Amino acid sequence: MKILVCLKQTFDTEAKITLSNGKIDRKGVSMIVNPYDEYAVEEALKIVEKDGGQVTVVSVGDQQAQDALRQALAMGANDAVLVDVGDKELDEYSTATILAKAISGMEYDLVLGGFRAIDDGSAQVSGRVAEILNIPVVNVVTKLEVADGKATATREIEGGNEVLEVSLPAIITAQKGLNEPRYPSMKGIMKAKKKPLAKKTLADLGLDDSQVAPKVKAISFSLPEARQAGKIIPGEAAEAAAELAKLLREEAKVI
Amino acid sequence: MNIINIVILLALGLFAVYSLAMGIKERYEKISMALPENRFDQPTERLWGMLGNVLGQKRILRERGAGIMHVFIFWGISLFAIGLVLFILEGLFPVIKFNNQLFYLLIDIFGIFGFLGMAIATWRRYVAKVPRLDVGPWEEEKMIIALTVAIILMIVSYFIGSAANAVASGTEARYEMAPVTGMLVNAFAGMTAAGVLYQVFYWLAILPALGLLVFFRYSPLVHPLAAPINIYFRNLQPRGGQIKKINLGDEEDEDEDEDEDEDDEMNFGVSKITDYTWKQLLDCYACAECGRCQDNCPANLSGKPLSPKKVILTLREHLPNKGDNKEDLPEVAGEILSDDIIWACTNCYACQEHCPQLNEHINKLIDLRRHLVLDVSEFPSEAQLAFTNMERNSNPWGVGWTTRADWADGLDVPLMEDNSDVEYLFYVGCAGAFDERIKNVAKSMVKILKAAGITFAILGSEEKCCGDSARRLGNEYLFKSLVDENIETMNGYGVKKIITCCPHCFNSLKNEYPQFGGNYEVIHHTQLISKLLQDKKINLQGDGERLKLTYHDSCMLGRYNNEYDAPRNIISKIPGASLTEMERNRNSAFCCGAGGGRMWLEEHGTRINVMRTEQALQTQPDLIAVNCPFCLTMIEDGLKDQGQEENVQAKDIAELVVRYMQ
Repeated sequence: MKILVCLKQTFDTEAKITLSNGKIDRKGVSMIVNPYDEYAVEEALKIVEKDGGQVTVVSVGDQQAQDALRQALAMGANDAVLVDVGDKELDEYSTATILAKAISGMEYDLVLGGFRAIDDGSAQVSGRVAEILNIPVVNVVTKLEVADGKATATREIEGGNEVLEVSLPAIITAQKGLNEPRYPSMKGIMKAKKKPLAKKTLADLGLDDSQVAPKVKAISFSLPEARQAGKIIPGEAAEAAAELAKLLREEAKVI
Repeated sequence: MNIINIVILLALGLFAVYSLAMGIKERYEKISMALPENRFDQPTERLWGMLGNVLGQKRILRERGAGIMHVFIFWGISLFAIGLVLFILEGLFPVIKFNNQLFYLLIDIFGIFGFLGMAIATWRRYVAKVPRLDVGPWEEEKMIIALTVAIILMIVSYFIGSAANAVASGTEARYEMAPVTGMLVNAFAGMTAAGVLYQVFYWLAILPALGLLVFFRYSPLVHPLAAPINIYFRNLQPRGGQIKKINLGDEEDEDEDEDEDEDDEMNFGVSKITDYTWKQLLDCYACAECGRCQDNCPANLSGKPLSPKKVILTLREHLPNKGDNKEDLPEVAGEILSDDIIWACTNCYACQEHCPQLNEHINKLIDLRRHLVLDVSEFPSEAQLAFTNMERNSNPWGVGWTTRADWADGLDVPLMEDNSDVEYLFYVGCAGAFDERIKNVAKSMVKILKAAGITFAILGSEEKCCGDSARRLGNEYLFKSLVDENIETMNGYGVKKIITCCPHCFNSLKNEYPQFGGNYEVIHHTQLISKLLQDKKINLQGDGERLKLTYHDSCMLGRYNNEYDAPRNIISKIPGASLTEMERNRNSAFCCGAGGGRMWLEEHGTRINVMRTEQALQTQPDLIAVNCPFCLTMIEDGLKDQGQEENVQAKDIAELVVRYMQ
């Protein structure tokens, strides 16, 4: 079985977000593999460990995204493809177009990815890729079984679970709970240095700038207001509660 | 008759010596299957230390009772053996006549000592049933019983045989001063069968003596032979720097390891028992199963499955045999020692502190952790979180690395990047930088440094975790990457002297960083404060209140770095303070439970920190003083568990000093 995993490099969850000239400043930010994509990599590895096969990780990003791909290789993926777009501005449409184009030139039985990236959180790309490739997509999956050319996926729905069966090839997107991603072993890290990582440009994929021009434009970014320090109201429970109600009404104006 | 005796004895003697030689050879072969390790340096230092511990019985005498028992056995039997040899030779060659009364007095005394020592040992084992000796069923005990019976038989037969011979040959005078033999001479006086009695007991003394040599080939109890050798080859590195550096493959030529198959063979930790070094396996033979290690092991005392003694003994049962194929040997982690044993160790060094053989238990477990982390990536998920946090944000808490200096906001703490021309780098450490409670320790230290007029600066967001937890959890790769970054930064600023409030940072910077090219004078804050008080650079003034406190020694400052006095000196200078020691203090202090990276792992069952807090509470203190951020966290948690957080405070020494500073 050939499995492709779409992977995005994102800001670390603890990164301090700052704006410079109205845009998000990337300086001094640690970059990580999007955690949901890490679940996808782990799931792909578990499937091939059981049934045999190959795992290829694919990313659209800049040179730095190689680190994220290397991490997936260290976890055990066989090879990687980076579509290097430099610092080109992309939206979900552009990313999906590039990914779909890259994927369509490869062999695959299954495509996995995180259901969303933790940075912009739009959760659109996998769906769009499926649409372009004209294959089924199952989102937000917490359990996956693959057998006989079919995938059985359990996904969370409001108040319960839904079990779906789709024929392969298909795109499945991972939700937290699908698995616990492994920590790369030293052996994995050393082997990853020698595994193939193909770099492609848009031109290599036969795409020109007009085909990937974003359709959505970010107008502005703003940081959340700084959180105010908490307040502890001392005294007996009843008195304190009265004081709390007073403050909520008069100061916070929420009741 | 005599010729026959000589022939028989010669044959038996040769057999015994052959057995002993074979026993040594077979064990040498087993140990040779392990990896090499250079323990052949500093022969003079090694010899003196060995003599002190073997002839001087230094370490074993730390515990009076069992120590004196061992002195009796060791010195008693060793010196008694001289008399025994003479006794045997005299029986073969009657021309030998040695009649010095003083000599026979001394041999009697040594014989009595040996006998008493064995009797005490037997009493401790089978009457008092000292728990740490772990008396087993007959199957396990028969070797020990055989050994004991042989030694006692040997001594008693000497006494009876010597007395009978004296009566038979008319040499009673030589035993006039000898208490036991002399008494028996009187008892046997005039006995016609004395000659026969002598013949019988002559052989009853020889056979167990020679039997002991044969015994060493077939019994695992080779402690008397292996211990002195093991002590000679002891670890001479500073305690805090005994974890071995491993080649992670980045130090050799990149093209060297082209071969994929070689990569599969590569192990960074211990997978099979032969991945240990010969010295690590020699420990197994030196072990006398005394159990001091487990009596001091916080994991063992809190009911965890780890006992340092059982680790050694279990490994001994699985030592390889000559000709074994490495592939066929069991995995040490998982098949010989379960994972929960391997992860239970807090690296507190109590086992090694108290081991009379100077065995090294901790590295054996760290080597297994290295295998689990670096080779097979199977370890507790909490450790993975700590690793990822250290990788991404250079601290195990996982707080954003850019906020590392936020604790110092408004305190006017200088940064190295602004001015590195200062006396000290104040290496804050992750706890001081990120843990809300411990930030107060860092702030207190700033106040002290400023009050004393010391020039210092911090690295701010350039500082990374020292790596102690990563290394002790087996992640040498992560440790090394943190160390390399820190050394590059610190060397870049020309750092010479470092002060730190965390004994883990202190130990790592002081004892481990030199392995990687970072050489600094590292000072723990209690050492500096003690000096400042002594030099009257800071002064403390009382508030008229009495303060009853107890002091908890951290393992890293105490056992690892032998600093017990500086914190106590500070406490002694606090006006109105009185120190009551806990029962387990100084080198016998009980770990808080957070060392060895255990700070980041879940603890199941009885909690070590609660036990330590209970020990502290027994002194009925107003305050528990500590010198380590991890200990502070653990003791505070322990106080909450005991519902004592309102009544008893836990404070770092620096916080305490600031409270009384003028």
